[in-house]
Order: sequence, then structure tokens, then C-alpha cells
Amino acid sequence: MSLDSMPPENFELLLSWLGPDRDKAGEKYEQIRRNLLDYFRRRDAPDPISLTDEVLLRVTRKVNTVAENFVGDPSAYFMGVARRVLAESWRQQVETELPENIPVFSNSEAGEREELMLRSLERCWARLSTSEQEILYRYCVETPPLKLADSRELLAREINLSLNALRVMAHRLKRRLRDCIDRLMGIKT
Amino acid sequence: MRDFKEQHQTIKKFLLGQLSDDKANEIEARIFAEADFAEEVQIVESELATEYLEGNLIAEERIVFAAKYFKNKANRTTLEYEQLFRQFIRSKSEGNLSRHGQKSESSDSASSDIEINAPPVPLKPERARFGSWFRASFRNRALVYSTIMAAFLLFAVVVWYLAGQRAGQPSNPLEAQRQAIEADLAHLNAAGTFGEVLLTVNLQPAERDRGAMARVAIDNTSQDALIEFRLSLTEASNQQYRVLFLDDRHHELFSISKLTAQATPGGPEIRFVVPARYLIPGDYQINLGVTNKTGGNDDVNSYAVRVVTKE
Repeated sequence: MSLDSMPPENFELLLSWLGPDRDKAGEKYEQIRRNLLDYFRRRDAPDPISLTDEVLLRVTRKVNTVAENFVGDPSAYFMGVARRVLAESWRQQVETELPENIPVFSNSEAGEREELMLRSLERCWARLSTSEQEILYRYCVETPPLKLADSRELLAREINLSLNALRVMAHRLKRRLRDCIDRLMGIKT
Repeated sequence: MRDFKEQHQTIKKFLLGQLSDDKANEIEARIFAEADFAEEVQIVESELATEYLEGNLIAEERIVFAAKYFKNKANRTTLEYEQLFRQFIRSKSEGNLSRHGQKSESSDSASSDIEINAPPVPLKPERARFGSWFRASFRNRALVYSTIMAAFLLFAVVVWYLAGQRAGQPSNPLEAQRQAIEADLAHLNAAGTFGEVLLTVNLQPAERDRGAMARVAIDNTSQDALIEFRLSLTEASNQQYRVLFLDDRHHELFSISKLTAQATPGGPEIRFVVPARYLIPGDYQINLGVTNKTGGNDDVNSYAVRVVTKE
């Protein structure tokens, strides 16, 4: 059974387990999903997206029995399932021989992908407001004679943010660009 | 907004896989439990990638980072994005940021998920479109490839140290590494005929290719496979040839000597093989010279090739 074919009532139950406010529960679900992807990626798992889906599927399938008795933050339960899924995937990988013909991209395909990523980035960049573009630019690019650290401090003062808040803001803008690129390229994240 | 400055080093070690299992598990649990902390880890990871690409990591960190982030596709994609973004944003001048004017075209309303909204900073007017020249500058991924190459060399140095310094080795570890590579290449190319090669790369002299660069895609599982290079020549000499590989900063990497030209239906060629493990992703220049009577080398041609990681 895939996540898409999961009964909607299970998913609704999952959301209500994550929080009473549906919107906030949805955000929490997305946060958990991103954490799972990062978890598997940082653990060098072979296919972080599939493993993430597997965790979400397992939790959604069992949510009606788990939610009642689980005490604490549901994220911890996802984490536990993720560890189990990862361990299983390592075992499976050891047992599975590599296929003889592993599909690979040719040079031209790699070039096309690079080109596509670039075009997507240009489109996504255009979706930022000009002030967001300027903030990101000034946060990331050194403009002599100022050193990068100095121009960041100046920028933070200009827009009345602490340096750390500016840093988080720049990260979120970059994250938006990345998500936008993934969407345009049809990458499931 | 919470500041996790004091935990940066721990997060960095976590990302580089330098924490004990218990500590790493603690960090992972905290990532799931605290959204702010999870975001902080993402930020530190992004900063780490930038530092790597800028060549600002200390040697040990560079080696560990390269080993970790080139190991799997998902991490490589993360790094690829960082590199793409870095090149992209640097290609812009401050007065030429937006291609589409003042207002966001944000059809997907993604900005709503940003809690800190960008204040209205006054912007300079748009000056010019930049698409084509940007694409050209993007292709010049000089810095990242040279840093990758440097990381590879540093990694090799550490391996060499760990293996123990044997008597008779040159005092400079980089030189020792280069000698080891060249000895391996000399051995592989001594017979003039090669075993099974993974792929063959036909290269034209750079000036005849008008700046075009051949691409070689290598996957990480083929590190021991042989790549055969065929350098096209306009005329052949009976003397011995030498090829010298340089990175995109013109640092010499390794050379292969005592090569001879071969007659082929397409004209004379210099053929040699290089194991994929010596060709980490990056741009390379290959200088072909002919050994002169004094034992030196006279330049003949120069060739260019880009090595990329196969998806």
C-alpha cells in the first residue's frame, strides 16, 4: 500500500494526533517529513525519499492504535520508526545484489539537467520580491571594500534585525528557492 | 528567535559524522523535537557546504566533508544546489538583481511560509538582462572543482601519513602522492595497450574546439575503471610524448611520460588511460608535450575535459 492509497481517515487521524489545529498539524507533518529526508540523507541511506515515504506509511497505517496510548511528542515516534526502517534498509541492501545494468545519465543528460536546474533557478529567483533578492544578494556576496561579515552587519542594522535573525531569513529564502527548483524540476521532496 | 551559536561546533561535528553514536542520536532526537534546532542544523549544513566550496574549511574537515558529501546522490545534490546558488548569486550585480521587476510573481505563494518578512529595501532599477552571459559564467565552475581536487589531494596525503612514512619517500607528502600516482599511471600505460576501459574520451586540441569542453561522467562505483583518452594530433612525431594534467587553477596534478603517437584512420593520436579514481569531478587541462633532445618538453597542444559525477 502506498501513501496515496492510504484511507483518508487515517491521514486525518494522523493530523489530529500531530495537533488540534489542522493547519499547524499540516505544518508539523511537513516538518517531520523534511526531518526524515534529512535524517536518511545524512545517514547515507540509498534512497531517502522512499524511506521517508515508508516511515510515513507505517505511522499512518498504525496511527489509530498508536495515537491513543502514545505519551509525548509524536515526532519521537516517527524518529523511532525511521531508525527501524533505516536498519531494515541496510540489511536489505546487504542481501540484494546490484543489478547488472545500472541506469546512468549520459554526459549530455547531465548537461541538460544542469541547464534545467539553472533555468529553474532563474525562474524561482524572479519569484522573489526585489527586496528579498537584494537581502539574499547582500547576505551572500561580498561587496568590496566591505568584508562579507561587515556587509551582513550593515544589512542587519539597515533592516533592523539581529545578525542571527538575518541569517535565518537568508536561509529561508534559499530554502524557498530550493523548494521552487525542486517543484519546477518535478523532484519529489 | 533562538540563537544556537554555542552549539555550532557540536552541530558541525554531527554533520561531519565526528560525534559518538550516543551524541549523534541525541542531536537527531533534538532535530525531530525542536523545529528551531532542526532549522539551525540545516543552516549550519548549508554554511558548511559554502565553506567547503570557498575552500575555507581546515584540512581535516575538508577531507571528512568530501568523503561524506560525495558518497551518496542525495548529499551530492545538496552540494550541487549550493554550488549552483553560489554561482548564480555571484553572477549578479547589485543593481541588476531582478529580471522581472519589482513585484514578486509568486504564483505558488511560497513566501507565506517565511516568518520573517523582507522589509521594503529600496532597489536600484533593472539595467540589463543577464541570461546568456550568466549561463556562460555558470559553466565556469572553477572554484568548486579546484577545491574538490584539493580535497582529494589532501585526502591522499592523510592516507599516506596514516600508512606510515616509509624511508626513501620524498619529504613533501603532496609530491610523494603525485609520484605514487605517476608510478601507477606509468605502469598502466607502459604496454601501450590497455585492458577493458570504461569509456573512451576523444579530445581535440582546445583551440580547434573553440572553447568547447568534452564531458566525462563517472559514477562513484567505477573508481577503479579505466578511462581511455585519445588526444588528436595534426601531425605525429617519432619522439616520446608527455601529458600533464592540470586543474582549473593551473596547478599541476600528474603527468604520464613515454607515450608514443599512434596512426589511426582519423589521423595520429596519443592514447593513454587514467583510472577514474584520479579524476574527481572538475575541469582539467591536459597539456601535451614532446620530449626534446635536452630531456625537456616542448608544448604541442592543450586539451580540456570536464569530469562530472554520473547521477
